[in-house]
Amino acid sequence: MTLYPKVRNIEKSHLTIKLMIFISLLTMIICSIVNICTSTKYLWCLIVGAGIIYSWITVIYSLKRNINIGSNVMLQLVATSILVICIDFIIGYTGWAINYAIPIIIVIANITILVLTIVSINKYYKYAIYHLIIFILSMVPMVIYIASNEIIIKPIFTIISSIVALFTFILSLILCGKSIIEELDRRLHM
Amino acid sequence: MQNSNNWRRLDNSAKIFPIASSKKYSSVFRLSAVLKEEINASVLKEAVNLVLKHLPSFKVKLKKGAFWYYFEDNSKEIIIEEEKDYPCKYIDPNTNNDYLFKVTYWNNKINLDIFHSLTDGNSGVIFLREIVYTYIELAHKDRFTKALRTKRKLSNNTEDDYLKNYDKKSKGTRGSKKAYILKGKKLPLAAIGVIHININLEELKNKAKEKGVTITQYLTAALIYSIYNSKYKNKNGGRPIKVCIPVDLRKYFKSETVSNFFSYITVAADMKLKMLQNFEGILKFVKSEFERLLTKEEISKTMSANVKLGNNPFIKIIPLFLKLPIVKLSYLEIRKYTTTTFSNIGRIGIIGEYQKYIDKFLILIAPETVEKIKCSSCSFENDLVFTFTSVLQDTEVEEEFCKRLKEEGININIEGNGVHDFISEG
Repeated sequence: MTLYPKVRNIEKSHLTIKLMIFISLLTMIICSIVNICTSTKYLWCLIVGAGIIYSWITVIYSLKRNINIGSNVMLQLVATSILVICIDFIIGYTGWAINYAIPIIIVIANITILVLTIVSINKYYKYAIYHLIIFILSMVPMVIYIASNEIIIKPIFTIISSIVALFTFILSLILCGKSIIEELDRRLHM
Repeated sequence: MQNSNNWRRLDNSAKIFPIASSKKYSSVFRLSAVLKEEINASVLKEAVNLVLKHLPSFKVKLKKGAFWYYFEDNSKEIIIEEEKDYPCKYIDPNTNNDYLFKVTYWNNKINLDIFHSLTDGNSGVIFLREIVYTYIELAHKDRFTKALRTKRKLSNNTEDDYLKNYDKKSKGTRGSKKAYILKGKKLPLAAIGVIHININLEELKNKAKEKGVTITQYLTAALIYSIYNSKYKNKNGGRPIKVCIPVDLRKYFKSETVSNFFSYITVAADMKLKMLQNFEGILKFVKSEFERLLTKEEISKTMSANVKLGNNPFIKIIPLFLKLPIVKLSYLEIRKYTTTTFSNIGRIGIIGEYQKYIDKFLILIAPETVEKIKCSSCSFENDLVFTFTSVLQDTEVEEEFCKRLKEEGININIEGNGVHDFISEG
């Protein structure tokens, strides 16, 4: 009777991933050629490229098992914000991304976290650190508006999103303040 | 430090492993128990679950903090699989329900691969032994009804005994010279070659006694001699052959911790010295080095230096994402100060009525890109198993080691994992 199994040295097949990379690259190249040959107004092929990169980031992050939902919300907040800013710049900057789109994304992210808090109040410590980061990120547009009123021209959405972020954070603090302190204690121990 | 609310800090040694580890440097060691009967997977799973209830300190996952990693309770199900990969491979938390140890089985063998952050070899043995006891009890319920009801007393103390015992005023001494690094063609596809040398303990004991040395000293000398004769001599290596020998600190300090509590000594043999170019000379040298280094003062010096480094306020305040590249790079450099590691965990004691179900125990340490060969040994009843784990294609060191033992009149019997098949035929 053998002590060890015969290890099959078969390289793991990443055929699907290779195929997806090929399709992504092919799409980008075809779009670039079509864009250059047919239109010169916008480099819309860059939007396709940004969309593909965003999709890859989302897919790779989601495929990693055991990823916390809170961290997914945080990633989407950052990734979609960057994506809309890119699109705004590509089609000729008008500021719609920072004035409207990003505040809406912030509101959605904060409400999602609030829902997660309410439905899994006993496991809130899992989301606490991400909620804290989302709250800090949610306040960035407000800080930008206070620092310079030239970037955010129509601040109403920014104000609303900041209020929503502050409200959800305070609500979570009231509901699970102890969890947040404990989570900070373990995450920040030296 | 034990904290409430289901989390705890990593001990001083454990801190380094998650930062320095990767797929190529797994920091995993394996303990195996070979029974005299085929392993039943469902009974094994039941046994592991029962043991985890009594040893909850192993039922944890590793989490990232802002400055250090930490352990948190793991409520997920334990995964028990048939062995299908090389031993001591990197334990991917994503495919192991976040557990830091992996239980596998093959024919009569139960394997316990442990990520070194979780514990050291000695506490690992306690964990494996408990799994084996429980497995035997469950597999032979009719004979162990009483044992199933009354559980053995097990320590769950996870205190960082490094912090309790280190000497704040001690000044550490560090070897200045880099070590001779073993060279050779590596095995393809990240394979690990395993060679177990079964040695008659009585014969080995008598031989060591005859030479006036301990078994560990004797085997260390044989290892240095094998490296010298097989690789060093022909390649004209200039650097000393340095063998790192882990030391269980529980023998020197009062401790009940199941966390890491080990240090090490390094035997550095400058092979340019004429007196070291024969086995007898090496034996004398190893004996004197063990006597010099294996004192409480010397061990305390090494331990204290390491604890001080981990407690350095400047290191503490570096965020974890910055610590990762810094530690990875410096650890790669530190590893160049060791040719190989030899860990002898000694005799694995088993309660009488369980002995008849067990054939032997094995210990394996993960080799890596710098320390391409690692050695370990343990003994059970009248056999000692000396194990080579290697990423090298050639088996020059292993062959030389076997030759040495045979020349000394010690009977050996070789087994392996098939990667280096030809040696067992030789």
